[in-house]
Amino acid sequence: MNKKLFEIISGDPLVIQGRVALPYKYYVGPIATKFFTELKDNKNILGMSCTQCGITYVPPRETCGRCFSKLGKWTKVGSKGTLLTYTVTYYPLNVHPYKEPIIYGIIRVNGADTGLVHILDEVNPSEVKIGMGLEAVFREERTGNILDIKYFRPTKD
Amino acid sequence: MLKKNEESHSIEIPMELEYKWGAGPHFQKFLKGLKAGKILVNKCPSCGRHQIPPINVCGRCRVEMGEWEEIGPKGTIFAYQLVAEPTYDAGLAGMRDVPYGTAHIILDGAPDASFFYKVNELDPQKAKIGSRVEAVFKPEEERQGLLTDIIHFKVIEE
Amino acid sequence: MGEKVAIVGIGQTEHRYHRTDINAEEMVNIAVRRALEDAQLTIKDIDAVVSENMDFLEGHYAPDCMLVDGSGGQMKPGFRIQTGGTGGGSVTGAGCNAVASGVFNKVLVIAWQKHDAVNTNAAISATREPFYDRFTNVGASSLFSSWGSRYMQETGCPEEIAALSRSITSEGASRNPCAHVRRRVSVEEVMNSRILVWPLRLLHMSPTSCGCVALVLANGQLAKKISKKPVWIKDFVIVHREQSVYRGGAVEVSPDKYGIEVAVQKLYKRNGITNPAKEIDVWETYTPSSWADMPFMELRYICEKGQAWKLIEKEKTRFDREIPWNPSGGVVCTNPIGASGAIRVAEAALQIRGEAGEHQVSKNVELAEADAWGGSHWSVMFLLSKSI
Repeated sequence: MNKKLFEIISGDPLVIQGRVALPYKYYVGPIATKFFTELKDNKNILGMSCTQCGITYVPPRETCGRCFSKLGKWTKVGSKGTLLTYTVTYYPLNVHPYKEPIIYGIIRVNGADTGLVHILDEVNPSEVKIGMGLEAVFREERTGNILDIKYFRPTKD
Repeated sequence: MLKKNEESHSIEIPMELEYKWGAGPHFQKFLKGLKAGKILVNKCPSCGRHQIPPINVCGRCRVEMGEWEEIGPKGTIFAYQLVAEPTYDAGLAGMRDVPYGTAHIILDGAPDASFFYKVNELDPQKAKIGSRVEAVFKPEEERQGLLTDIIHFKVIEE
Repeated sequence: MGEKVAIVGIGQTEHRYHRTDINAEEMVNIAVRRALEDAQLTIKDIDAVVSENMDFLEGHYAPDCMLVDGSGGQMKPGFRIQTGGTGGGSVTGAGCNAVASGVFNKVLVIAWQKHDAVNTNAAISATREPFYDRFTNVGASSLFSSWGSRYMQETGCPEEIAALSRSITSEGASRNPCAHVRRRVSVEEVMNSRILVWPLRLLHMSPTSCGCVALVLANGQLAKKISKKPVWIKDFVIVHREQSVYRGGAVEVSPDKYGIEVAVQKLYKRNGITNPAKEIDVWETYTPSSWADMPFMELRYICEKGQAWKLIEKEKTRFDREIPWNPSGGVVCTNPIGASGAIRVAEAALQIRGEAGEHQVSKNVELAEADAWGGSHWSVMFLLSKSI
C-alpha cells in the first residue's frame, strides 16, 4: 500500500512530483439521505418546497436561501425536464465520471424552480438545444449517488 | 427521516491531488551542498542570521541574503521529539511507521537557525536539550541532492 | 477604532466528535439560528455575513459557497477568512472592523469546522514544505512536545503538572454542555493515556471536534437597544511575527519576543493593565495542549517566568478560584479548529453576561481575555468588557 513519497522529474532545476491523498467521506445529512434513498430504491427525484416563497428546490435542502424558513414540504417531481443551459467538455480530467467529450447540462426538472446539474447523453453535442425536453435514465444497480441517474437523454417528442 | 443520532448517508470520494514542486535556486543550492557532503546556508548581511532552508531574503530584515558558508555537521539539540503515535501521511497515502525521533538542531556556526530532521535515538533521556549530535551522510554514490542524503543525526559524546 | 462594537447575540452547537447525522450547512444553520434568537433579531436585520473555516480540513474548497443558504448569507455582502488556528479570532476581528468602520451596523460572524470528512492529520501535513519536513513533522504534536520538554528542563516543572492542569480544565468542561470531551479526568488517567510525541500524551492534547459558533455584532447605539447585556469588544490586536512555520517558527531558537508576548504588551499598554492576574477576571485562551498552559500563563504576565507550574500545583486556575483559566474546558476539551478561536470569544462573553450556567466563574466578571492562536505563534487577542 505504501507508495513512493515522490518522483524526481527534473534534476536541474530540481522538480519533484508527489501527491496529497486525502481519504474523504462526506455525510450528506438527513434531507439528502431521503433524496438519495428515494433515487436508489424507487427511481424518484424528490424536491423540497418553501411554503413562504412557493419555490420548489431540486435538489432538496433544509433552509430556503431567500426567506430563511426551515423547509419540510417534500414534493415528488418527475424525471422529465427541460434544458436550461449546457456546456461541452473536451479535455480529459481524472475526476470526470465518463469519457470525454462530456455534455454537462443544468436541467429544470418538471415541477422544480431550480436547476439540477447533470450529464446529457444519447445526443450529439451539435444537436443539443436550450429548452429541449429531457428524461432521466436510471442505472440498474443504484447505490444512493447522483450518478444513480446515468444521464439525461432527449425525449422522443 | 433519520432517527436521533442515526448516521446519515455518506459518499466516499478518494481524493488524490497530484502536485509538482520546484525547489527554487536557493534551496537547490543547499541540496547540492548535501550531495557534496556539506551543509551550506546563506547569511544575512544585516543581522547575521542564517535560515534553514535557505531563501533569497532575510525574513526579519527584508534584505537580500548575502554570502554562503558551510555549517555543521555537528550541532546541539534545541528540542527533541519522540513520535510514538502513527498518523496518516498524505504524501505516502498511508500511515507512518513509528516510533521515530526528530529534533530541532542548532548546527555549529548558525546559532540563530534550527535544522529539523530525524535523530536515530528513541530514548528522550539520551537526546536531551543540549545533547551534541552529528549528521550521518549516505555514501557519496547514493546521494541524490535531496534532504535524505543525510540519513539522520546521531547523538555523540562531547 | 471608529464605532464601538458589542456582541449582542451568541449561538453555538453542542460540539461533538463526529456529526454524521447532519451536513455542514445544517450544522452552521443551528448556530446561526441560536445566535439570531439570542439577539432577538431575524436574518433580515443582518447587514453582512462573514464566515471562517479551514477549508482544506473539510476536503472542500471554498465551502462558504456551498452553505450560503443555511448561513443566511444569500444576497448579503460578506467575505470568508482562513487563517488556520487563529481563524475564529480573525473572523471576529474582521466582523468587528466591519462594524467599527461604520459601513455595516449589524454583522453575523460564523466560525465552524466539521472534521468528520477528512483525516485532520493528513490535511495538516500539507502545511509543511514538501522538500523539507512534510514527511517527518507531525504538526501541533511535535510543537507541544518541544515546548513541554523545554519547559520541564528550564523550570524543573514535574511531568505531572501538565496532567494536573488537564484535570483542572476537565472540571469546567464537565459543567459545559457544549464542550466535546466533558469527562472529568484524574491525573492518573492522563498519565496513563498513550504517548503521542513524548512528553505529550493523548489526554494532554485537544480532540478534533465538529462544531459551529455564531456571533451577532452591533455598533454602540444599536447594541444598547438590541441587548440588555451587550458585551463590549473593548480592544483587540492581531500579531503575526514568527519566522516561517517550517523554519523553526513556533519552536524558535532565538525569538526576541513571541507573538503572544507582543500582542499582550500592546493590549495591556493600550488599556492601562499593569496587574493582569488581578485586573482580568476570566481567561479563555487558545491553548490546544495542557503543556502550553504554563508558558502561555507566563507570556501573559500572570506570574513570573518559570512560576506558572506552581500556580497550577496550588490549583489556582480552577474555574471557581482566583485565575479562572478556560472555565469552559478550553480548546484542550473542544477543538473544531476553525471555530475554536471564536468559541473563546463566545465563552468569555457568556461569562461577562453571567450566563455561563454551571461553569460560570465565582468572581464578578468585568473584564475578560479571549484569544486565538495558531500557525507559528500568530495571535489574535480580545479584551471584552461589561461596560464601556
